[in-house]
Amino acid sequence: MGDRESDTRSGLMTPRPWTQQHPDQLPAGRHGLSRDFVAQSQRGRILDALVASVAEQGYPETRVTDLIARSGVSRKTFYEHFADKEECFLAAYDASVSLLMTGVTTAYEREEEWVDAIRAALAAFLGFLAEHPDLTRLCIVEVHAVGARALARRDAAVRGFFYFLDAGRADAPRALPGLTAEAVTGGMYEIVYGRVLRGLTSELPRLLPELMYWAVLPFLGHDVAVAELERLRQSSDELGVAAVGAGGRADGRTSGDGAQLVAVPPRRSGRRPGSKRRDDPPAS
Amino acid sequence: MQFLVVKGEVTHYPRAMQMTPVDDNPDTHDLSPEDFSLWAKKNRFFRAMAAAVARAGYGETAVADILREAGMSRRTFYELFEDREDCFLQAFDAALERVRALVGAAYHEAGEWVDLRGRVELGLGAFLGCCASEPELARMCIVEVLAAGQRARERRDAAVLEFASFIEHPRAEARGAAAPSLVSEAIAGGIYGIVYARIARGETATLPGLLAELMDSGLGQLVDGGDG
Repeated sequence: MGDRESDTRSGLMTPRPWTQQHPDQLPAGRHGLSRDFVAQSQRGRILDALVASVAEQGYPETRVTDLIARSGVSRKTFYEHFADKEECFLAAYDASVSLLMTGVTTAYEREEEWVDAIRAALAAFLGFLAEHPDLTRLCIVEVHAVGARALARRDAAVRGFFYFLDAGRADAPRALPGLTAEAVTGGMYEIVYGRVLRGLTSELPRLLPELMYWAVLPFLGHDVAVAELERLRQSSDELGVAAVGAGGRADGRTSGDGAQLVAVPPRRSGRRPGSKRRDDPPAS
Repeated sequence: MQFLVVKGEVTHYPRAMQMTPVDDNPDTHDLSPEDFSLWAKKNRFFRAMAAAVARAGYGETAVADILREAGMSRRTFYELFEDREDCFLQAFDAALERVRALVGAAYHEAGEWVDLRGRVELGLGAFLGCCASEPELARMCIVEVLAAGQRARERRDAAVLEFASFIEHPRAEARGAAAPSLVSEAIAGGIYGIVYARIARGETATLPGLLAELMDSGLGQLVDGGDG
C-alpha cells in the first residue's frame, strides 16, 4: 500500500493525558491517577493498537497477541476490556463512526440551506477520511472481513447518512422514491471504497465537486448539480488543490477532538446574501 | 448469429433471459460435442455451488457439499477446477459474461425506437430480471463474493467498474463533458448497494419491482433530456 500515514501515533482512541507528552503508556508505579482514568487509558491504547494492526496487516491476520504487544497491556487486562478480537474491533468501529458522525453532523447543522449543509457535511466527511487513513481503512474496507455483527454495524452507520440527504426532498421539484438516499449513499461508499483500496485516501477531498454533483443530481436535477460542480471546481482551483488535499494536517495539529476534524472548510460562493457565516480565511 | 458491441469487443449473445444456460442455449451451438460436454459439466457444478453457497454461505461450503448437490464425482470436479475458489471464480465469470450479454442486448436492441432513458431502463431491467430469475447465482455473485477471498473481491470490484463504464455510454450521450465520469461509478455503486441489501435480506424477488425507483434515484436525472 505504499507509504501510508498512520493516525494512531496521535492516540486517537486514547484520552488526552494530563500533559502534552506522548500519551502512550502510563507511568509505572504509584501515579495517583484514578482507576477510571487508568482503565480508560488502557482501553484506548488497546483500541489504538487494533486500529494500527488492522491497518497494517488486515483484520484476519491481527491476533490478540499483537494487540497486547502493541498496547503494552497484559493479556488479563485485554480480556477484562474485551471478550475477544471481534469485540475489540466493534468497539473501535463504533468509536470511529461516532467521531466521524460528530464532525459531519456539526458541519451539516451549521448551515441553513440544504445544499450548503450537504456541501459542508460532505467536505467534513472527506476531510475526516483523508486525515485518518487507518480509521478509514478499518471502517470502509476491513469491516467486511469481520463477520455478521460488523456488517450490521456498517449497515446502521450507512443508514445514518440518509437523514442528511433525505432533508433534500423538501427542495426537490417532484416526489422522489424512498430509496434515493440509499442510492446516493451507496454510490459515495463505492467511490470511497475504491479509492481507499487503491491507497488514495488522502486524495478524497479533491472529489468534493464531483461528489456534490452526485449528491445534488437526484434531488435538484442536472442543471443545479452542474452549477454546484462548476462553482466548486472554480473555488478549488482558486484555493489550490494541494491545500485542499492536505486538509488541516499541515499545521501539525493533533486530531484528538472530533469537532476539529472538519479539515476542509465549505467553500462558499457568497452568492446568497442571507447566509450566516462569513469570511472563511482562504477565500478572502 | 447476431452481434453487439460492448466496450469495443464484438460478442455474440444468447436470447434466453437467464443467467445460467439451458440446454437450447445458443451459446453452445458452435461447440463441439466434447466442448459441450465440458461446458455442461462445469455449469452443473456452478449451479450446485450456487445452491450450496446460498444455503450455508461460502465460508461453510466444502467441495463435498458441491459434489453432493451436483451428483458428480470428486475426480470430475478436480479435472475441471483447481479448488473450491477456482470453481467459485469460474462460476462468477460465467454468470457475469451472461449478464453482460443480456444487459447489452436489452440496451442496444431497442435501437432508435426507444429514447435514451428508455434504453437505459431496458438495460437495468434486464439486470434486475437476471437477479430475480436466478436468485441463488445472484446471491453468490453479489453477496457471497465479498466473503470468498481476495481474488473474488477483486472480481466484484472489477464488475462494478465495468457496470460503471457501461453507464458511461448513456452519460456521455446525454450530457457529454458536463456531467463528471465519477457519477457513473456512483450510480453503479448505488445500484450495487441496493441490490446487495435486498438479496442479503432475502428479497431478491422484489428487485424487478424497484426498476422505476432506481431510475428516479439519479440515473434517470442523468440521462433525461439526452436525446438531442
